[in-house]
Amino acid sequence: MSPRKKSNHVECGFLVPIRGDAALSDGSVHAPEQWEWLRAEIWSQFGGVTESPGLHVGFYQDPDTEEMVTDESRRFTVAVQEHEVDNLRDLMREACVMFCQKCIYLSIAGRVEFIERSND
Amino acid sequence: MSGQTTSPGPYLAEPDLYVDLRGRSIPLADLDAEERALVDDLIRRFEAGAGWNEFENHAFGRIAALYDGRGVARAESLKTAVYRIAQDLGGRIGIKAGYVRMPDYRDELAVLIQRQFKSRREFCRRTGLSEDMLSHVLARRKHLSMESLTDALGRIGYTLQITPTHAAEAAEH
Repeated sequence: MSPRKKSNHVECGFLVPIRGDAALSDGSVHAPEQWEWLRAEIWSQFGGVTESPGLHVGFYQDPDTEEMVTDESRRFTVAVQEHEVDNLRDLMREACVMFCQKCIYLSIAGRVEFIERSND
Repeated sequence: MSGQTTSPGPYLAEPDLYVDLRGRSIPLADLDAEERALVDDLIRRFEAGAGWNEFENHAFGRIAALYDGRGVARAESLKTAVYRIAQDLGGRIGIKAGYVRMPDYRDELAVLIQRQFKSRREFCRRTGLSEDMLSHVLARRKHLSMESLTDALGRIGYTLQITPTHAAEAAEH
């Protein structure tokens, strides 16, 4: 890509914990199927992704139990066209279900959203 | 749908036959020279102890360059042997590091529901399984009986399959 070429892509990053939420699952690490599903969706919908090296360790307060939870996550960065950002939000809602999470941390051009799982 | 295996077996059953974590064979003899060179490169990196994310960044970047350059649609390139081998090697790295576990039928079930049905509720309506039971199964807290699973899958046109593991294959020889 030419450095002068204008892009209508926005940088989006999201964190996927390597373990399922203990309240929604047995809390074990995921199987390859879950990661393969995520990659295939990104591959088909958004073209490419960069995985940050290593795992990101963080903590947050569970809104339901008010307990502090520590987790380890993979961080993915995707360049998404502005008109496709909602598609990424939809994918994150599905990812909440697939990875047994209450919500997923999504950063869109620096603004953070916590995408919650849809009720089905 | 394959049964549970307990540890990853070797991936090259023969020089021209890759076998993935679920025991599915991926023939290498039909690959062209570029594809085979890429598979060999990925196996070398895997054997050299590449990190999980670093391996996947490299592998899928190379695969995208190869097939995008040939005008292959993404929906098609993810069905290729090279893509499937890359994702399998990535999974093996994750398992070896303790970041990923060996899959069982519940993982395949979760992906099937996500890809083929509008919702878990829709899946339950079609298969006759209760939503409560499915929730426990996908949360890995319960198992379905063989009879329930076979019956549910049969209603949506799927079946169970017994797949040899490498341990079984090795025992034969």
